Amino acid sequence: MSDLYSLTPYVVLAVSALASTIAVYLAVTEKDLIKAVLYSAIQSTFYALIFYLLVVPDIVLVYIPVAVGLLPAILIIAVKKTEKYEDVGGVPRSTSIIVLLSVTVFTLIAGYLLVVSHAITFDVFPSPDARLLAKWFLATTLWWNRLFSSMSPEAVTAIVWDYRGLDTYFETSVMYLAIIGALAIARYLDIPRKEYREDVMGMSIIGKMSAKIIVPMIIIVAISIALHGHLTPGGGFQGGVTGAVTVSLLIFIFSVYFATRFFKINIAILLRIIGLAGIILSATIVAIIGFLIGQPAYIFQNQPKIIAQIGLPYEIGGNLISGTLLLFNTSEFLAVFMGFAILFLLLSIPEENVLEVIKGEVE
Amino acid sequence: MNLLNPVLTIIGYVLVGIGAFCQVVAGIGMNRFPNFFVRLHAATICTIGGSFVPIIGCSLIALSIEELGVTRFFLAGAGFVTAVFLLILAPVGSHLLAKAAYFSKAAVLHPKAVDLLEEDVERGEIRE
Repeated sequence: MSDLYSLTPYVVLAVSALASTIAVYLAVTEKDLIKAVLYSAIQSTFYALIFYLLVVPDIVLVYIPVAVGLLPAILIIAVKKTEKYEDVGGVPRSTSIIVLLSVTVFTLIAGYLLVVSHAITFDVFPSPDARLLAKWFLATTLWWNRLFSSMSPEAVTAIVWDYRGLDTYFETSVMYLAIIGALAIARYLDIPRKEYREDVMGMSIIGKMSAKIIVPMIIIVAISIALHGHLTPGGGFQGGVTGAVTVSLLIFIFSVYFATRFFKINIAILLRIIGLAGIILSATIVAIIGFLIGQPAYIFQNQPKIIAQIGLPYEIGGNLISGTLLLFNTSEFLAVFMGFAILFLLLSIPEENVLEVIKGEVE
Repeated sequence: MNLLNPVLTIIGYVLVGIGAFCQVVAGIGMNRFPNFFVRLHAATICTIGGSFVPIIGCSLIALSIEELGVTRFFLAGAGFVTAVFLLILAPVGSHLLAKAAYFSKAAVLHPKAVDLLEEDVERGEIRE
């Protein structure tokens, strides 16, 4: 019976892999594009199940809203704005058979490799030892022995910016590259200069008044989320996103001409660069200190380790700052806040101005 | 403080109960009200009566549990701040929704008893 129980994830894995294959085939051959999008959403659902069975819940949490919700929504909007049916007369029969065969073969090979790896190591799904390791890490993020700890009671921040700091650095750089891309596309665009007029622009006076009350409160909450990132749930990214809500509130409730009084694109870019420089400085500060005093040290090092005996202080005057974690959170807050502010400001440029610039470039 | 704790607990539970009642009432209203504007009223019952009041109740309950130590003040403070945010923002949100739906004529105003705003707009006192 216990053998059967341990086989269950494999059976579910195989069934969902097969079902996703069928969904892919239907999505490729379907002529009604809306239905094709729905088939691809079904395929994404099965993939989410597979990811869940392979014990990567964080990827499932991102995958379900993006691949099942956001992507089909965008595709359906795009289909509605263009044409609903493929006018090429559908996919030829031979092509569809080739697609189906190749996907089936790929799935079978992947499943075979999975079974083989299981037969060799019996360890495709994480073994109980991994859970023990995780428990040990969770228990020691704030510990008496600095050599094995990051001195922060908030385990998520400790893991994200200390234990796997390089990983997080590349994750965040994806977002910064996206903002650089947006800036590159909009390089000739600028928000038109126009005077903000209280009586004509924006929403009603009730909305404006409550926005005036709520915007400073949101900024204070955002700063507290960011600066307490090493103590309580939260952190730089979360605080930055919360702060960026204020920019969109100013744009929607007042006007973009009012928002540009406080957030100018160039100043936002400058502050974002300062934030990025802060991230790089916090990543290398221990290594720089080690280089200056002639001791071995690593990048993304926070507390002293056994073979690199230097590190930042984890408290100042009795207040826990967790070494580099506070620096990371502060700079990440600045960079994310200003990055989203840039995006919102760019998105709120009126369409006529954009068309004018594009026309000028074409001619 | 010890004497005050049972009082806080009872008030907190009463507020949470009021919140649950308001949620049910708002759900019934959402289903049975005839048009958008009246349903917006049900949504506001849900946010103020069903969210603001029980959050205050939860904060009071958290204040009354002494086993939590100092943490209970953090919990209660966060609860009060959230409640104040809701109290300010929920009416503003429904006001802006109603205004946008009215002036864009997206919502049909079918069973109409009286429409003072329409009369004001006709007389030219209110600009769209």
